[in-house]
Amino acid sequence: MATLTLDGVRKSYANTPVIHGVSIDIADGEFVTLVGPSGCGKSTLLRMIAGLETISKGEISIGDRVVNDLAPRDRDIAMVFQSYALYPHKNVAENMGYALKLAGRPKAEIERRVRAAAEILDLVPLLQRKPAHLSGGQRQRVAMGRAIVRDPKVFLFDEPLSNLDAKLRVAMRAEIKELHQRLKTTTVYVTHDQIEAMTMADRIVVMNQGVVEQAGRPLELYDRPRNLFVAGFLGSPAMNLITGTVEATGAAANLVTTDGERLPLPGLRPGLAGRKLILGIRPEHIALATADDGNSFQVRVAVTEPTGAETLVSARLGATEIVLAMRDRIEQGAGATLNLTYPAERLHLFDAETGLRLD
Amino acid sequence: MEQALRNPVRRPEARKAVLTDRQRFWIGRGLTYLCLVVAVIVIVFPIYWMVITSLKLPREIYRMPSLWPRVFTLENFRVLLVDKDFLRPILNSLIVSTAVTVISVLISSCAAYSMVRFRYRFKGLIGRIILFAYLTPTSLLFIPLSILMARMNLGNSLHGLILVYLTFSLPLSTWLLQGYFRGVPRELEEQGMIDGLSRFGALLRIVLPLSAPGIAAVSIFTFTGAWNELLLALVLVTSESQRTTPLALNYLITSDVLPWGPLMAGAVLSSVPLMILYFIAQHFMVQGLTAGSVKG
Repeated sequence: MATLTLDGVRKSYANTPVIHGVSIDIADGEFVTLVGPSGCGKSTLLRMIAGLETISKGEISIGDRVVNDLAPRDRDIAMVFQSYALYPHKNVAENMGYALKLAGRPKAEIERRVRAAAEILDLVPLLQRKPAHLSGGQRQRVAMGRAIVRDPKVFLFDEPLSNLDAKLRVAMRAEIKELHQRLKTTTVYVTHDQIEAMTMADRIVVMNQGVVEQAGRPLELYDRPRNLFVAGFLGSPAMNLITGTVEATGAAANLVTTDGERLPLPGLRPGLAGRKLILGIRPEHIALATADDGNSFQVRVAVTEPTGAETLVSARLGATEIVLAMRDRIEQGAGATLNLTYPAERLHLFDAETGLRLD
Repeated sequence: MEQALRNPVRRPEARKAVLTDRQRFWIGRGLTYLCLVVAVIVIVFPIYWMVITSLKLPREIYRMPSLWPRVFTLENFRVLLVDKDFLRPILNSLIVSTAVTVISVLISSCAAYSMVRFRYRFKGLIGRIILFAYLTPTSLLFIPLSILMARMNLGNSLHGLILVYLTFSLPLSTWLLQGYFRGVPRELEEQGMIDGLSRFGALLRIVLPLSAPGIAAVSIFTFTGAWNELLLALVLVTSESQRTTPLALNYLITSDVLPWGPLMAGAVLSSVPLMILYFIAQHFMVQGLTAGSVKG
C-alpha cells in the first residue's frame, strides 16, 4: 500500500499532446476512478502509471519513489486489463502465480498465496483450468485474483467490467468494492461508465480531452459540478441544460430561452440580470407543481417511459427538450400539459461563454 | 396450428422421388470417396513409382515398365551409398538446412516482433523492402550473388550457401511471423511486463510460445526450401565434398542414359528427412496455418 502522486503529468505522441498536465494526489488506500468519454486520455494516464507508456513531462511517484524511469515490473503495481489478458497457455493457478514465480518466490509460498486469493474469489475449483474453458465472469475474477496474489502497492483497473453483460457487471462492481474494503489497497480504476465511477469510488476524477475537469467525492461532483462538462457527464438521464437570458422584474427572475419561453429562477442572486446563462436541473429534481406560486412552468409531454421504479418523461418547453424522472406514476400521456416546478437549491447556473459554474 | 407444427404434412412428391434418402446418401458417399481416391492416386503415384523403381534391377527398369518388380534389390542403394558416397551430400544438406532454419527463425522473430510492436521511422518502408526482396526472382539474383560470394571468399562452401539461402528465407519468415505475432494481443505482453518480464523476456516467454504453430510452419517452409534448392547450389558449389543432396542427384546424371535406379534411390533417401519432419510437425503446421489466417 502506498500513496500515488501525479504531478504535472503530460504526454504527447510526436508533437500531438494527449495529456495536458494532470496532477492528482491519491491517498494510501483510496479508491479513485478516472472517468470520461472515450479518447479523453484516462487509459493513457493509467498506462503511464503502470509504466506501459512513457511520461513526456511531469512526475509520477508511488509512495515516496519517483517511478518515471522504472520498468513496469519494478513499480510494484498490478493491473487488470479490459480483455483480462490471461495467458492462454497457462492454467488459472499458473496465471495467478506467474508474477511470484518470476520474482523467484518458493513454490510452497506461491501455492499458498494463489490458494488464498482463489478462496477470496471463489476460484478454487477452477485452478487447474485453462482460460479458454472459463466464462467471462470467471476470467474477470482470475484477472483480479492475479492482481491480488501479488499484494502490490497499487491496483490499476482498465475498464475491467466492459466485456461483461449488464447483470454480471453490477455483481462484479459490488465484488470489487467489497474487495477493496477488505484489502484497502490504493486503487486507480478507469471507466467510461459514470455509474461505475459514482458507485465504486472514494473520489472521482472526471477527464476530458486530456485535462482533469473536476476531482472530488462522487456526490460532491454530482451536486456541485464545476462546469458544464461535468454537469452533463455525471448522471443518467443527464442533467437538463437550458440556455437563455436572465430577465429580472422586481423580486422575480426568469430565464428567457431563445424562442421566448420562460423558466423561473427562484432565489437568483442579484446582478445577473441581462446575462446569458445556462440553467442546469437534474431530471429527478423536477416535480409536479401543486399550486401556481410563480415558480412553475408548463411543458408538453412528448414521450413517457415507465421503468417501473420511476417514470421518465420527455417533454417540450417550446423547442427545448426537458427530461424529468418521476418517482410517482403519472397518468398524462403524449400531448398532455404538465405544470412543473423545481426547488431553488437544486438549480445549477453556468456561464454561457466559459461553461463555468456560477455561485 | 399447434397440431400442424407437431405433425408436419408429408409432401406427396417426397414419396414419389426416384431415389430414396438412403440411396442418395450412399451415392453421395461413393462420389466423395471416388474424388478422394483419384486425388490420392495423383499425389501418391509418383512417390510409389519412385520407391518401386529404386528397388528394381536395371534390366527391369529399362524393359516394359511394370507396377510391381519381379525381383526386389537394394543394389541401387548400395551403388549410391558405397560407390557414390551419397551420405556426404545428405549430411551437407542437413547442416545447411538446419542452420538456415535456426538462424532464420531467430533473426526473423526479432525482426517481425519489431515490425509489429515498435514504432520507428521508415518502418513502413523497411517492411515494403522486405516484401520486395522476397518477391525478387532467384534467377535474377544468382549471378550477382555468386560474384558476391566469390569476392567474399565464401564461394564453394557450406557457409556461403547458408548465407545465400538466408537472403531468401529471412524475408519470407519475417513476413509470415509478423502475421502470427499480430495475433498475440498486446495486453498479454504488457501483463507479462507487469508480472516481471523484460521486453525481451515477454517476447521469449509469451509471444513465442503462443506463436509456436506459426514458428513450426515457418521452420518447415524454410527447411524445405533450403533442402530442395538446386539452382544456387549449382552455381555456388563446385567441389564434390560440398555438394548438397539435389546437387549430388543432379551429378548422378553423367551420360545420355539416365541411371534411373540410383537416381530414384537418391530421391527416396533425400525425401526421408523431409517426410519425418512433416510427420512430426503436420499437427502444428495445419494448426499454424489456420491460426495465422483466422486471427489476422
